[in-house]
Amino acid sequence: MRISALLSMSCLFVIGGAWAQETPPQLVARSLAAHGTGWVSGDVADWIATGKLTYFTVDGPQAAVDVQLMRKGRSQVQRIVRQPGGEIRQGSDGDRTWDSLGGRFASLAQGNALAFIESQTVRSVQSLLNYAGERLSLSDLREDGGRQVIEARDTEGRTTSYFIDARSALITRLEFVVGESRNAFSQAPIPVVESWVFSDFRQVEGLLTPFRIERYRAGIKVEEMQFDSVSYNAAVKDDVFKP
Amino acid sequence: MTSSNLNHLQSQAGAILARPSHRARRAAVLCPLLFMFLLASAWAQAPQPTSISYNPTTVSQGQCYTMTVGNGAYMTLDMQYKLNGGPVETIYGWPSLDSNGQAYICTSAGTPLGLYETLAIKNTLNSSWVPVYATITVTGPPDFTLSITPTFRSIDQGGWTQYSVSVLPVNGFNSTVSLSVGGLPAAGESWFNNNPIWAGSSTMMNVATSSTSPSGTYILTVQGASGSLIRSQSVQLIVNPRQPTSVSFSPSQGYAGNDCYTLTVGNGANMTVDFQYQLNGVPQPVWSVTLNSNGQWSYCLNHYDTLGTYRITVMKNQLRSDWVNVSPPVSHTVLPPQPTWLTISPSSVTAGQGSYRMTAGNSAAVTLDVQYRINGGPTHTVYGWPSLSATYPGSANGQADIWPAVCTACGAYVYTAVKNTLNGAWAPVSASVTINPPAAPAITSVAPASGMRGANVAVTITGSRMCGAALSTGWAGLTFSNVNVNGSGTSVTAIFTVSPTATLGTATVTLSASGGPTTFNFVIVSPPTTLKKEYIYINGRLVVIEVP
Repeated sequence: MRISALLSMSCLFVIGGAWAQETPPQLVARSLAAHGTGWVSGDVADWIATGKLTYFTVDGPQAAVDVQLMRKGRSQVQRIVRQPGGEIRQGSDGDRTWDSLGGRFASLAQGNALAFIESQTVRSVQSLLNYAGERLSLSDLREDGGRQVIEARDTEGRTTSYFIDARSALITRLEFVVGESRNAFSQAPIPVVESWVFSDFRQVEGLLTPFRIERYRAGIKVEEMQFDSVSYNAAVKDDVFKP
Repeated sequence: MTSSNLNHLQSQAGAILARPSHRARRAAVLCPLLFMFLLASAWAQAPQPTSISYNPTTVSQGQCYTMTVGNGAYMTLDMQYKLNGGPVETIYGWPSLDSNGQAYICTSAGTPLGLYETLAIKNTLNSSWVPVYATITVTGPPDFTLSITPTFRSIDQGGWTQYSVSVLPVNGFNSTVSLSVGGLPAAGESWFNNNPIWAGSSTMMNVATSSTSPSGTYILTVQGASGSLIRSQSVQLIVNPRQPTSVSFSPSQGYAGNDCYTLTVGNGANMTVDFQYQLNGVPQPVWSVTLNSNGQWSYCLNHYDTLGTYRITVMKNQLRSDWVNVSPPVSHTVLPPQPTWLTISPSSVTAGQGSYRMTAGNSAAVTLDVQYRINGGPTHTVYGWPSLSATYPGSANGQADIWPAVCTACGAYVYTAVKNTLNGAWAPVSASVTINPPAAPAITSVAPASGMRGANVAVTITGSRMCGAALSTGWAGLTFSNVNVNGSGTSVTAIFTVSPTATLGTATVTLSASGGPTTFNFVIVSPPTTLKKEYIYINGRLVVIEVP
């Protein structure tokens, strides 16, 4: 009891103007208000975003190509990356996933492709904002440089960390573990973390939308999507979600 | 009188008596004369000595000196003296002097050491004493000692140090001394700047250790020898475990699972070294590694090694507690794993009917970039496809099962290069798969299935395996345009143009797809008869013409 009291008191620090004693649901509620309540009200049926996707190597950018990202419902996602050498389609129709080259050569989404799909569906920002409907259990992880980190666990045991800016309540980053590596010196295990970083937020039809999404794996920048347009309720047909 | 003094006197007397031994032989002859002389002396004062001196005034045991007595020719003395400030001792009838009033006296090893002060002397024939004062010091034999400074030195393995060695003469020692040293650490060595050296001089003793010299505390015994005279002195030498002096990686970066590196530590032979380092800027726990006899440690990067930069900032010998800065820091970068080979199995697949497995070495959990050619055509580059999973848990190799769609263009696909999408360098490979055409197309419906002369009819053909479909017919007056196939090859749309003069009847249309041709029927009909004018006759007479 005494320890509990002390812990409670220790939570009375102010972080970036917000009270750190906010519970995760309260924090998510504040974040929802910042992003737009349309995310959970059912007003958003689908959306299409178009822009450029830049692939990175450890030495920097290597190729920038057109990209179109489509989402519909809880689980439909399709990303079409238009490369000169072929069109990459990565997505899910809710039942199956794919990682396809031009619709001619398709495999099940795995590795990077699967992580992308999850980042847009079960681990997405929208999933957190609708945590109740998604049956996510939330827990407070830590404070991280002006951001509060909360963890969401879904019914299948997947955990995702979300970084919420304490001042703006915007979700600026999400992370999840995709594997394990070993320290080349000590051989100590180190989780391989996939990070998606959101920025360049703009208002689109009342929803605060990130126009830049950067992706990191194990700290290495993998890709960046910079959108030039985002449309909600674009009447996206179901048949676009295919390999 | 002490026994030692007695010994001294006896020795002195012995020395005196021993030298002129002929006197003893003459004593028997001279004795009566001496007796008469002594009687006479009872009445007449004999000559008295006037002074006494010693030369040298310091002698070592065994050395001789000359006593000179003023007015002492042929005189036998009585003497009073003190040894080392002790009580006054008296000796009678010693020594007897020669014609010069001198006696040559030799000390012996038994001669007590010290300062002899002669206080009074007299002719033994007289009774009165003549006060004098002269001293002679009897010392021990010539000797030397060694003095070494400092008495303690501390060095690291492989280091060297110096001691100053001095030969200090004792009792007039003035010879050269040959120096040597014992007790050195294994693989250590020593040398003197000058050797031998004269008594009273100094030289530097150098002590060097090897990197293999065991650490510890050593007692170095320096020995000086001059003839049979050997003296020694000891000093302490502490050999600390050596510290590493430098560190380097060769090469400084490598692909995980592909490359090896050698860590080389200066002065690090057989050493266990502790490193403080950062991984991607984050401090890590101390890492220890045991080096070989060349001060090296080799490691081949594992596929699952954490990517990034490992930067060593501080290091030390594990046996020591003090750290050595690595400035500037030395780093090794682990790059993303690069595929080493690529295979495809099976080597041929029918489009839409099966899959092939692409397996790449060192590519578990890697997303590839690929370059490929179709039927020897130009090279196509695709980034970020496919993503591979481990062939089995823990495997370094990755795989993806790929299903060619039914509409995949048939032919030989040759992958010519692959790379991890995170790397810049391509790895040349040669792996091919032949995509065979699917079975002939199958048509399930044609709608509409007929058209009139002179009409353009939008026809939808439903079926399967119709990828790349083309339409043809030998029927006069029927042509096709705007033929489109959906992506899955299940639907073809086309405009059927039927000329006004087309032959009426059932035309056979051939649909040719990648899997071959098939046919279907399309019926050409004449336009239905339509009422354009109505002529009404009554009793053979035209009465009305109507246009509907």
